[in-house]
Amino acid sequence: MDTSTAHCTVAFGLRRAGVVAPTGHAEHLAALIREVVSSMSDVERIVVGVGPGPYTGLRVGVVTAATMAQALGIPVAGVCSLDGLGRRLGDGVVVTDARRREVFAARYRGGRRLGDPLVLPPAQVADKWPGVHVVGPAVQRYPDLGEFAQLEAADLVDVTADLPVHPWYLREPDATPAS
Amino acid sequence: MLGIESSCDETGVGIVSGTTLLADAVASSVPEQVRFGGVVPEIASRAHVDAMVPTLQRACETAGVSLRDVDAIAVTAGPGLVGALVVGVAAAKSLALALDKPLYGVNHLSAHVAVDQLQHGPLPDGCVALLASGGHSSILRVTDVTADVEPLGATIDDAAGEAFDKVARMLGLGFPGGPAIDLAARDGDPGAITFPRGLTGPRDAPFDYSFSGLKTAVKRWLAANPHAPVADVAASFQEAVADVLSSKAVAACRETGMDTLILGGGVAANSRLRALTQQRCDAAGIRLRVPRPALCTDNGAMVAALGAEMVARGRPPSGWLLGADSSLPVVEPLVP
Repeated sequence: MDTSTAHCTVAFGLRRAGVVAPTGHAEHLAALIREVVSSMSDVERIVVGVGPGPYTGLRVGVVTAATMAQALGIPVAGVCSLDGLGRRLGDGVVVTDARRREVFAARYRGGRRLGDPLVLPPAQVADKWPGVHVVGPAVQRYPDLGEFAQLEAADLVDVTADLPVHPWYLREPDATPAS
Repeated sequence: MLGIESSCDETGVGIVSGTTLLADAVASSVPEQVRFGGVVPEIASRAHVDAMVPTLQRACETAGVSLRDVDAIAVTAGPGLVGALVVGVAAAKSLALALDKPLYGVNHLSAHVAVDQLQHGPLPDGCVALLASGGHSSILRVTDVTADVEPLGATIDDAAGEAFDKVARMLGLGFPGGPAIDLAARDGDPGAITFPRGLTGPRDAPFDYSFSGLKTAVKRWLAANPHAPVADVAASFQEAVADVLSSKAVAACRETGMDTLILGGGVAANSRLRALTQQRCDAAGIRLRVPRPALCTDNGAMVAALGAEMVARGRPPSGWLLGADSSLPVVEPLVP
């Protein structure tokens, strides 16, 4: 499952379900899981996209996966949300909307991510990786970046999932200590 | 019944059987909030994510049950901080789905009333509730805590707990302000300064509150009297809050003909509010029910208590599209 973008996406075996709901992850995720899983006892392992992504939606996926694994007594692991599309893309840069006029971006070669994802203004993507093909959901808001594609949970199943089941925030909370 | 609470800065998981409390595990992000002098929503939300599974485990261990023994799940659907609420809602939906059990999305305010069933037994057929916390200051008429809750009045500006936090900051007493002022006030004279009682004029709404003017009055008074004893200021401020909260709650009982008053919310842990309300209820022949402080502040047991009452009264569970509603109206104890 992945809730790191507006596309709330779930896959189980060959079945997949998704809905585009920028602020509706908490409403939709459980219903989507019910669509693809007919018997919860069939689930042996959970892989969840841990971001980076806008926090409120991202947390829905992470908490759902962690709680479900606890209830079912099965293993759960995190994966960088961009890695599924990066693996499918092979060579290029995956971009998702980070809000506040920024994007999350990661460079892939041979389907493997080169370093941690970054958060940066969309105009800096081409400077950072000149001439590299750019793909991802952030292209919807910033069409000059490259080619639009949604993240799909089905793409995450084949990625090595070895991250902790914890949101990959990339930004510190906006808060100023009291004087 | 397992209940999950995450509307503000406490992650709570409670387990009850009917009106019997089996476990009440709470993880608080207050220690992380202290250096910011108040609740920062993003910090609260992050803490809920980290605390959810460990708090679930702790509640199960305390109750001596496994998650598979749970018959139903209840969760605070609102009101509260939306980013905090969704963490609890996601966890509850995930549990209900994995365990194939019914899910009840309930109202935080009704849960503050229902929790008293765990300590003082079934609620009467009608009562008045005064809920005062960092996020709410409301007087409710509760005919049926699962279906019929009517607001009689509420604060028009700051919540009572918010006023405690702000005044504590002015006095250099730290966050959270409620316990700090309660402690400082013990050595003070509550009659030293007469701070204003908001909305107590003959033409004011009889059951509404206002604490913004009181907060400003304390600020002005401190500016004019910089060397005033902190204890006297704390005691006098606390007296003003306790006076207006208790007098309006008792008046609401008289007006509605109810003979039971229930206190709830974090401010109900304040010793002066408890004492003054008791004194006024005794004089008016009203039965006062106040849960112990740990059940007054936000916790999962209150959500489980309300969920159990939903089942007892045959209310239908919530649907799979349940979401968090930061401004869930008090008249909606159960989200369909």
